[in-house]
Amino acid sequence: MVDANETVVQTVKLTKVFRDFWLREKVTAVSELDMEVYPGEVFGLLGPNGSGKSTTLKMILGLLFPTRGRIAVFGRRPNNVKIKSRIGFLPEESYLYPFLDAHETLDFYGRLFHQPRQRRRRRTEMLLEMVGLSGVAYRRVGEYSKGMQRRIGLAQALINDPDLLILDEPTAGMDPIGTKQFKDLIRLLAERGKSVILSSHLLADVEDVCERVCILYGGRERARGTIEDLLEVRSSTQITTEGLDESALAKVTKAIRSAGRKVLEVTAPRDKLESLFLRIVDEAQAQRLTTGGATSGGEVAEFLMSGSDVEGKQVIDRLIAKPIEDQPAPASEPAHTESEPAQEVIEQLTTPAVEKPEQKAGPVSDKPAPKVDRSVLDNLMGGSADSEE
Amino acid sequence: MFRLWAVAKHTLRQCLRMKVAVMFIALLGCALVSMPFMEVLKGDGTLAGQIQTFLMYSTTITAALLVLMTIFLSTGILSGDVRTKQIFSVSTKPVAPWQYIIGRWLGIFLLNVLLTALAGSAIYGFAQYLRSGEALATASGKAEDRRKVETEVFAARDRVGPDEKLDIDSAVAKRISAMKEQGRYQEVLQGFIDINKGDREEGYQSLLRELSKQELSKVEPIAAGKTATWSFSGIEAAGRESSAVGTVRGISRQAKAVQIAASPQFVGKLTYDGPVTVNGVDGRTVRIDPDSFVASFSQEDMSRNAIVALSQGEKVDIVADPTIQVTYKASASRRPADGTVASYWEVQNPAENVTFSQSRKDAVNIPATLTVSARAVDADGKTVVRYWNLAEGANTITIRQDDVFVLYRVGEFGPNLVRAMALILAQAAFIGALGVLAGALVSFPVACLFCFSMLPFMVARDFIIDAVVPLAARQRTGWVHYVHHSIVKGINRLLPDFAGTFPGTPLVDGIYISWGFLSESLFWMLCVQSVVLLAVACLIFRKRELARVQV
Repeated sequence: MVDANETVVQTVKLTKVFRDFWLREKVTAVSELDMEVYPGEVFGLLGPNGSGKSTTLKMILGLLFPTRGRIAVFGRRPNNVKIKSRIGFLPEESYLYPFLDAHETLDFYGRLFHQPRQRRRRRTEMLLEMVGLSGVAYRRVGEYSKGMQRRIGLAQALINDPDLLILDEPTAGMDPIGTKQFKDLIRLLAERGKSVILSSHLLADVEDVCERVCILYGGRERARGTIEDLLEVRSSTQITTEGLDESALAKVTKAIRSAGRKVLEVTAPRDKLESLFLRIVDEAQAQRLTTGGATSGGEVAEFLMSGSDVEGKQVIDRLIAKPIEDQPAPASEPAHTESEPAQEVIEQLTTPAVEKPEQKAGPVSDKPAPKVDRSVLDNLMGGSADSEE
Repeated sequence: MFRLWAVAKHTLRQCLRMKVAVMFIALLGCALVSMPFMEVLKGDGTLAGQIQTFLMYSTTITAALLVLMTIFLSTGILSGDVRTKQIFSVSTKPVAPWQYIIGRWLGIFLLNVLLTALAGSAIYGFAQYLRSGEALATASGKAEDRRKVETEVFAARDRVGPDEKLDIDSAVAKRISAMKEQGRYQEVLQGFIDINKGDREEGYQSLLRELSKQELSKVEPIAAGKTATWSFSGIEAAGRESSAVGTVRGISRQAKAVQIAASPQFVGKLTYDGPVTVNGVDGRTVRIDPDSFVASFSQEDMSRNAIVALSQGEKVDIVADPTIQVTYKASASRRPADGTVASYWEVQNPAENVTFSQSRKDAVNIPATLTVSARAVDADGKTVVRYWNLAEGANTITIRQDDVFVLYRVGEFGPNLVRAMALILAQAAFIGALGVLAGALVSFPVACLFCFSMLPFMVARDFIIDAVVPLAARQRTGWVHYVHHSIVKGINRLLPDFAGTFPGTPLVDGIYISWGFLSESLFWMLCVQSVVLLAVACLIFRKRELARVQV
């Protein structure tokens, strides 16, 4: 289990210089990077192609050796065999053995963690169920689609219930269902005190799950901090309310103007494409339509929720229930404001002007994503953040 | 150990699912299955020749295919893991580099164990099939052929040379010392150098050759009508009697003889005029057929109840004495018209004055074997072999001391085959270690090339060293000599001698592969040479960056 006071990963002036055959300096992939990851934290590594994200991860994993500087993972050197039992790693592509089926794959990696047969078997079943590959567990991994390979790759990274999960482009090739489940899983793991380092080009994913990010360019750190700090826009206020008719909208606009503020944009919120997609797939599954590929995953594996295979359902229930209890209701979550709005405006806004709209069916995000100024990230990353590495 | 075993099991599974392994298994299976029925592998036309040819080809093909397959698998699996980045998923798990390397090697070793066991079983099965009467019907059915099969092929025999063995090297060294003492050496050597156009090394080698030739010529040639005698000791042939149950086919009280039908395997162990025991009564073999023999008894023994009361069809207990073989190679001063020379041999028990004799006609310059009862050996393991030159036309015969041996049975074919396959397995295991080392260091093609370039040093090590020695000897100092010395020393220490440890030849000749030789070979190949290579592989793997530059 992770010690709350323990720094999970620490790098000090970490530098990696690649040299050619004649030992001439070819390129500096990472330069003097200082970084800490703490228990229970989801840490994002962002950067355009060749910015040094993967190199940093590989040095943390001991696959590359630093040219200068120091790395400590759980206080030890990265190539220490003991600390590897606390790490789960999902590489940018699932480099798995194509001649093994999913079952054999997880069994093999479970063996490498010296897990007893019963535990291996139980975890394998749970993970396959979780990533939606139970139906194709005995098909060889080499025959899987890329998304399915990502799923089995994720399962192998979780087989040891790791204290530190390192994910390199984890959602690349995954369908929206898998992506959503994956993000839910990361949040759950973080709540359990697990640390996650995530390297991705998909800014929305990073934004959804990471608490802190480090943005690299040319091997150097360009920005570091919490998502909130980096993305906060203090010059405007967003209010989300139930649908307003024209007259109510006019009143609100008038109230805002009377407070000396300009209304910059009034729009009806649109459903997210992700939500629409998930709703359609849910409906198809409810009708039991057949598919040869992965199904949407089941419950999160028991051992990942409880941290122990023997803990009872109460514990699981408590862990599942906890995030909902702790979160304020979405409607009542205050938006970031620059100054306190006038009491009158609030009263007007809370007066029911129209009938409550019908609740939309299908899964929706527990916490509506705040409207963010994406240009902040784009600027920091040199404007090419959407390209794939 | 758990993780090591996990990697080993995974490797075994990987090997079995890789097409290269499947192809090699299929090739090996096809070769072994088809070989006994191939017309070109009938040898000299005799059953013994056919079985010997089968044994030689099957063991050679098994060893060659295992070595090739092991090179491809061991180099391919390791370098493939790095190339396809599957190593990322393994090395980020709590597996130490040594566990990964040894586990990979162990997995390939387990595959080799499996294949060696399968190949060994197939070789044993087909050899027994050929030995059976069914196969005999299509080959020469002569009793002599059967005897050869039973006593020279399906046997594990040890051999001893004559007691007074001529040591040519020591004799040459003594001659050189004597010349030095007499102060003639430099003068003689200079003469040979002059003959070789001033080449000192060639001159020295010519001198050695000439002295060796002179010493060899001192071996007494056997003139026509003359004899040669060799004494042998250390023969432990006692206690290896073969017993069986035979059926009386006929009995002649007048001729004092009984014809008994027995299995070809038993009959093959009998020697003409050799002892045989019927119902506990000692007799003498006077006729041998493929499936029966005639035992003759003395008047006194014939009148014993155990013999005289026998009737046709009655079952009898029969015991064949152990046998010994004398092998020799004769060369003639003039080649005989029919290529053969006549001789008379006596093998005598020096303590009890029991003598077995045979008149023979053998081809010159080809090893020949005579088989007699082990009663020719006394309790101290000694025997005396005497030879009469009966060659026509006053032909002088020479039999070198290095070409005459006494062989005696110390084991059976089955266990000998097991030891032979263990030697092949050890060779494959070493190649596996070499491949793992190469695969841990470089890519698949380069690793393969490295392994294949090492093979000649193992298969023909003596030849290569002999070929290189004169080159370096010309320059006793300087870098050529230093490099040569280091290479030869390195090869001798690091690489096993595959030719010296290849078990095909002893297996074919029915020579006992001793446990001592097997243990020594396994110790060096597995416990020393393979361990050194694997240790280097572990070190390299630990110090190597497993990811590549991707910036």
